[in-house]
Amino acid sequence: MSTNFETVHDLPESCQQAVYDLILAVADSKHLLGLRYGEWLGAPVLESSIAASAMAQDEFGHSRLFYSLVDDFVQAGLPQRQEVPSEYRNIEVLDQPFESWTDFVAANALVDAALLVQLEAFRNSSLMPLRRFVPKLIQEEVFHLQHAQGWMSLMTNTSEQSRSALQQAIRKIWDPILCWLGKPQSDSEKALLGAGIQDIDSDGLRTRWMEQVGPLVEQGHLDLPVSNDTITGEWILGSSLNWDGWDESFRRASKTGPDAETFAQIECFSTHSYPVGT
Amino acid sequence: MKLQETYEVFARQWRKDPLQHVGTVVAPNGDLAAAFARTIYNEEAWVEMQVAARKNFIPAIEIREEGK
Repeated sequence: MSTNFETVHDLPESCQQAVYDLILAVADSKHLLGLRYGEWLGAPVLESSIAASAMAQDEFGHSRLFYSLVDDFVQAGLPQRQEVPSEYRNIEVLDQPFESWTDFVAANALVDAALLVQLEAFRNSSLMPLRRFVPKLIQEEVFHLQHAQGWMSLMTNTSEQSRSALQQAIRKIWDPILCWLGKPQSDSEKALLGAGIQDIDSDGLRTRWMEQVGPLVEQGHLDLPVSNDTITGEWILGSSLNWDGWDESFRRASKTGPDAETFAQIECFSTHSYPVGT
Repeated sequence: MKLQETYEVFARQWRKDPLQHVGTVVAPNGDLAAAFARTIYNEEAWVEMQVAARKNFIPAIEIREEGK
């Protein structure tokens, strides 16, 4: 059984950076996802406007918890990141606003599923503050996926036009999200697993992600590179991921960060701290 | 939105209590009905919430005039 760490100060130096990188990537991704959800208070139906604002509130709340851990790392001596867009580590598909409600639904399904499987991998984390707050976050995420699933099912059943628009929207964000779950055999993955921060490797996370997304793809007859092995029941990725230019510490290939308009709204890291009661 | 159906929403605050009817949502499918119910009827810290399609109700007493 591995050691538990009551605070980030207790983490062995060998894994500190890898944990910090991942926590910041989750914090920034949830922050930006909250912002994107919040931009859709004019959803196609009033009930989804309410859902979008509720999901935005959830994501902002989650990011605040992750930022509190980031703060702890800074207290422990890791350099505070510079408040410039290129230092942001949000999942790349959130750099710009969603262009359509279809883009919203695609991200609602794929990005939320990626964040959910990452949170689930923290359930038995050796980093105790993380382990304590994660179960409540997971509960909230389940409703996000239900919302996505409901919309995907509607869009794939209503018309060929809405089905193919959804397929296109998903294709656009597919690869960056799968890569976001981590590069296999990277040094940081070894550090995270070695210290018991998460309990599954990046390929395992991708399998769990496919278990969430695969059935939706299959039910909607969407042409995407994922299929179910009829003998083993396992979901298999039908294409290899492109890791050219990938920066594992940022979980991004491009270093541009959020666009200027977005960045003007989110700049807060250096001016706020996120103390969370113990 | 097409294919709207009525769903009845049931919830309870305490595990010792039975589920009670708290409202109605209209949605094109069960997943959206559940997602909508969760955000619309969020006034209490529910321990459980369920939605059921009105069309799946089985009448034990067909609707009739009151007092008869």
